Amino acid sequence: MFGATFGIVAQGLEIFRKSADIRNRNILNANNPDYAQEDPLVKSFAPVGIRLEDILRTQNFYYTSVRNQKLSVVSSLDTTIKGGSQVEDLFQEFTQGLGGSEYINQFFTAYQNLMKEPTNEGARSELINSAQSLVSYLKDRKKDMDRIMAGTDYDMRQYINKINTLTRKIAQINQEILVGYAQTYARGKDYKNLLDERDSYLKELSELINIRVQEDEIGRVRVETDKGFALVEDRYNWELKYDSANKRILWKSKDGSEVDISSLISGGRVRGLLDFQSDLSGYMNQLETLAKRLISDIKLPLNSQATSNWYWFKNVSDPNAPLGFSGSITFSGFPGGPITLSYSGTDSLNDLINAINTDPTLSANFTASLITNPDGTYTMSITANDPSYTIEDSNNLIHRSEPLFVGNGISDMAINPNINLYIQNLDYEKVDEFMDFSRGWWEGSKSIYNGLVDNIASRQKDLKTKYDIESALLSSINAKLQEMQGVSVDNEFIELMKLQRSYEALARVVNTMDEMLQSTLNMV
Amino acid sequence: MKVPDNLLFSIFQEQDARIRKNLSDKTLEISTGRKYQSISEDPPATYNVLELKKEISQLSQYSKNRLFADTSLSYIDLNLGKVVDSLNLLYAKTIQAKNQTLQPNQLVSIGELFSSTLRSLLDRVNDQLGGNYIFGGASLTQKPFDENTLNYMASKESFKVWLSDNYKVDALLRGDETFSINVAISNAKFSNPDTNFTVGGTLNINVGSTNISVSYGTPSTSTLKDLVDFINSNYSNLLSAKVSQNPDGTYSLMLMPVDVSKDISVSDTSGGDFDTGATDFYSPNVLQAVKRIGDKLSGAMYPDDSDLMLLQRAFERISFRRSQVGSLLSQVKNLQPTQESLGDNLNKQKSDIEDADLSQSIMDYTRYKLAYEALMRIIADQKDMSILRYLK
Repeated sequence: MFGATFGIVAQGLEIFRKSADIRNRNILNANNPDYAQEDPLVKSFAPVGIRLEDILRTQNFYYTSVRNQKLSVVSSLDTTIKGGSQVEDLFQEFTQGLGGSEYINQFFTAYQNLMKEPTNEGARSELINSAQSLVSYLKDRKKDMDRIMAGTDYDMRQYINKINTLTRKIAQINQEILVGYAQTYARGKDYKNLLDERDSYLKELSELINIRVQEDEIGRVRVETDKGFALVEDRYNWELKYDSANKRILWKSKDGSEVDISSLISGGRVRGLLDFQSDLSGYMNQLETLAKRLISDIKLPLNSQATSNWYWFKNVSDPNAPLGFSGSITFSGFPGGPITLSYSGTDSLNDLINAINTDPTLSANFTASLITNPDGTYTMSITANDPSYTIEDSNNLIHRSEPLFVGNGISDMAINPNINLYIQNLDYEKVDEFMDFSRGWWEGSKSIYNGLVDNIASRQKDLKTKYDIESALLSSINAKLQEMQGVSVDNEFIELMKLQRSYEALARVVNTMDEMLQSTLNMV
Repeated sequence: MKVPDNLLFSIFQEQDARIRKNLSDKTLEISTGRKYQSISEDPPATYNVLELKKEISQLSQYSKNRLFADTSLSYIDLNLGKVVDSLNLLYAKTIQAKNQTLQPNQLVSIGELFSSTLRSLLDRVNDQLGGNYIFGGASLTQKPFDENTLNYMASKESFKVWLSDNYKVDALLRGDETFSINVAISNAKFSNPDTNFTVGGTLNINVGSTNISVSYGTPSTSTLKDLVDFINSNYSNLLSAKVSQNPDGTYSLMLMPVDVSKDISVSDTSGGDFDTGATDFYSPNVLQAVKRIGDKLSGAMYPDDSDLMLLQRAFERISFRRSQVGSLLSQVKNLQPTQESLGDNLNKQKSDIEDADLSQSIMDYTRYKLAYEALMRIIADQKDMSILRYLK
């Protein structure tokens, strides 16, 4: 008798209840930053009633992608900064007594102190102790840096595992979206909560690695790195692998081949960690350079009881390059001596060595050799057959001496094992000249160390500045995204009140219809 | 425009984190007294601090060197003063002995005074400071003067220390130079100064940079005495010559520059009487001069003019050396205020860079604290600004 009225009312009540569910879901997720507000799209259903056409998700996918890209940049910077902070903590130059410069300065002060008072036992032991401290300091810092480097390998494996897990999950969600879409097609396509999950994964993935994402009409995504290396497509995912020996990220193709995509990764924690590994490697090289310079340069002036070795005190980068200055070397105290060997600006270090070794009288009493220093420079050593033989250079560049440090780098750097013999047999007549040399060595070592600290500090400062700017931009994009897709509880309550009114009105219709039906029945 | 609830809280959280970070930074700054906690906070400041640390260390080393030179030169000055005093006493005694009214035993007793003074002088010239011989030059641990020969045995180089990047001073002196006397005494000995030379020849005399040649055995220089008169008449502006009686009673020629600072060397290669071999003339050091006169006195010989001249010159030379040491000492002492002032300046620069300005830090702290409280108040107010209040 009332046609479709009861059906229309029942359907309306059901749609209002469903709409209330959606509003409730919005309120529940009001504090979830990854949630996109949903709005029921209710349309009149000709010729009679209403129907839930769709559930609109107030999301701008492009904007979300922009946010994710920025997130990649920020998390990359954050990772590099966190790594850099670990290194920075090793160089506490603002805390008195903890900086590496203190060790360098103490060592050279002790060296110069000994050159001032070479007979002072206190000055002798001070030099040995400060040299030992300097060696220990360099070794400790190297160990610390090695440990940090090993830590990056662990972190990188974690990141790569997480990326692989996420791409697997996204591929799975793609599948679930398709199923959800099919199942809820006729009932408002209420599968959008899967898209929230998908977005959450994409955000997590962007934090780890920069990605490009394409979305199809039902919400499935294709995820790829720069240059198109696919990570997810449809229900398939491609895995990444970390090659710790070469610090590379490899993309594993389905055919089993592996491609190095390290240089193609421009964002995310993986990029940040790769950058930090590169920075750390540079810092370690600089520290190594310092150790090599110390080993190559620093020598002690010795008397004939300690050594028969004489060193050329001007390290050159090329032993065949012209010296650029002239002079003469006088060899004395040996049978047939003295002999003076002149050299000109066009002669090289090797020419000098050959001249000594080919002179019949000189070569019978002296042996000259080319020494390759750990820092890559070259010098000449001349060994006298008898300790009483003497050598003098007109430019004051040859001295009877031995290096204070031995080794080829930090790992095997040590104080010369004969230090006790040497320190008891210093050539007192040369100490003021070696004090003069030490100023140059100190300046050189200081420059290398300052360069290292300066690099760490300025790199870190630069990263922090970039981070501040980029994270401010990220916050701004996030705020916009929140405005766009976030939930206002007040707004939701107003919508709920509207729904409540409509629901109450419709419920009244049921009563009215019932009364009308009673009236009709009473007429019988 | 829709303002989601989460947006508000995100803004609050962000601001809260920022203010709390500022607060914690300022708390650290105030509690440690340091403006910077890590090197990246201000890389140029880090660079400057590293440079200053090195400069301060280097300056501190130069200060130590200065102190070393100061102590050493002061002690050398003191020792030279004692030597001068001893030589003064000996000079007075020599004048007394030269008065030929003294009995031989009185001469011998003065000779004993010379011997004991010589031992005391040996102590002075072989004195050590901090284990190093102050007149041993760069050999440091080698005793400078042999107690028997009185010859100098140590380094021919003085021991130098650097007081600044470009300035180094002698901190331990060469005894041979310090106690040398610029006189030349012939190794050739003559039994009588009035006897003619057996074989004539030519003396080559270098005084400072002036070279002269004096022939002997000529009519005007036929005897040692004639030669002395000839030199004194013709080269009085440059040289003083004396006939010097040796402890064994023979006579030698003694030549001495007029100028106390000029060195003298004499040689004879002519084959004449003065050409005695490799070394024709020798220059005694102060100790040897004292011994020479002491030996004469011990042998009951009266000292002559040459002995007085020798002692006078020894006194003048040591005084001359002492004035040089005094000049060095004055330069070293003058460096003290300069180095101390530079040290203060460097430390102040370092402090200006790295030490916190506490009043400013406390002001900043108060500012951030106020901001924090204001933010908390806003959050509290915002909690009530909701439709929920009206739905009760």
